Amino acid sequence: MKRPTSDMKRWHRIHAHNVQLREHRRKSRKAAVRRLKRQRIHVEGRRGSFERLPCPRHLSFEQDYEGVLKLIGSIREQSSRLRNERIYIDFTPIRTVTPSGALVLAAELDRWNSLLGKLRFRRADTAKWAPNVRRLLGQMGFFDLLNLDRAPDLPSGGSLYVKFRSGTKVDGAAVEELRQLDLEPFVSVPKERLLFAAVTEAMTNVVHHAYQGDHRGPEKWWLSAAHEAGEVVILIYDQGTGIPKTLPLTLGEQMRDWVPDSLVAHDGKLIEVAHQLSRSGTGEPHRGRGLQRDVRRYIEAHEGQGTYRVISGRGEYTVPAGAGAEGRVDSLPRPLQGTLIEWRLKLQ
Amino acid sequence: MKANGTTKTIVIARDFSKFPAGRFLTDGEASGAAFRELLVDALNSSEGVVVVFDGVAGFGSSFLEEAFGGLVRECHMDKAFLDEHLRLRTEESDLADFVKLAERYIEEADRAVAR
Repeated sequence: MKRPTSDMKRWHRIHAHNVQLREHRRKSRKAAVRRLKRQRIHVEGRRGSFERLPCPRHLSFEQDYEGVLKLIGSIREQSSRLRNERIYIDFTPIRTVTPSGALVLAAELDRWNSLLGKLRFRRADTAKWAPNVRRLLGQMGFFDLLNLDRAPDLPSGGSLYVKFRSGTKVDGAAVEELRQLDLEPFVSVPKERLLFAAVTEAMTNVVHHAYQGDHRGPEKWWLSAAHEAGEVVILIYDQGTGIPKTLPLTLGEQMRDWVPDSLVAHDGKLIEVAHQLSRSGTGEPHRGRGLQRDVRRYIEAHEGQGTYRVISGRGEYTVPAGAGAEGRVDSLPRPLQGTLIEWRLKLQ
Repeated sequence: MKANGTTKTIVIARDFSKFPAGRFLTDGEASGAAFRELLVDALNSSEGVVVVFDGVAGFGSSFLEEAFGGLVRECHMDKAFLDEHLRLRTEESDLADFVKLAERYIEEADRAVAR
């Protein structure tokens, strides 16, 4: 056999390297395709592929707080990509859903629609949704959000979920419509004038304080209500900075940035502090009273069982119904983007 | 309020809005600042003004503080002047607390301005 020359040896080395490189690229491509296949659902026809975002089994802050926030975070991440992709939110895994979990998701989808347009959603397979889930999400306005034609299921089984409203201004008429047109035909809400004061004051806080600094997306509040299991729930949510970050801090509270959370006030404590008189982000003495005088007062004036709950940032603040009741503060594992306020009243 | 002077009556639900809410003009059409403009016009053009709270859906603190506390803070009308020229009324029991709150905001603003 002829001995290889140095040129031949060099050619063989280069050839072997190229073959190796091609094989490596082929394997990488295959792995990437496998990865993509795991993440995406391919839709037949001209619509192409969609990123699949599965909902948690429990769309509920009480049962799976982290699961709900993970879904919200995934939608947020998709909407902030430079080349925004189309998404498919898979609602089929959901078995239980609460009005608060649904409202926060509705707000995120509404934000998506404002920024990117409805056409980037894949149409949902509503027939595969659990019936209780379809009823709640349908009544709360998800069919419009997802661009579906099918009419939502009518109220049944004593449950009612009110289609969410949203706005960027303080809209007293929206509050009264929600009570009079949506709730009153089914259930009478006690102390309606205090409710009006509470919700319009919460809206005022959103308009004045919630959206500070850079914020991509609509600077809105989202409002909804529900009647289920003998309780009325009224909810308002915004996607702003959150109460703990907008509160003017005392020196002691500022220390929380330097000392572990367990030693100083955490976000829950700061939400409680915000309910004290005259603690407004503006520093003006005549402002900053709404949370205590109106927003929390509605539950204090309720003569029965109920709770007032605020989730903002990493904090949760809960107060039971009745005058002078002690509130409870908690820390949460992930920050909620914005502030959720919930009034829950057990009806007599 | 002088008995023989001209008195204007503002029924909030009829002359302004059934759904008053918000503080500043930028908050919405039915804000406290917008109502204060109506109130100042009435106070400047008559001997006295009666504001009737009946028929509204309710009031938030921001609306009441800006509308009534703002008369002292922004329009420089002191409490003595308002005691003489402004009356707040309601026939509805669940609005009585809102009337008291509006009067309290006038007092608080007067004290803050005096300081």
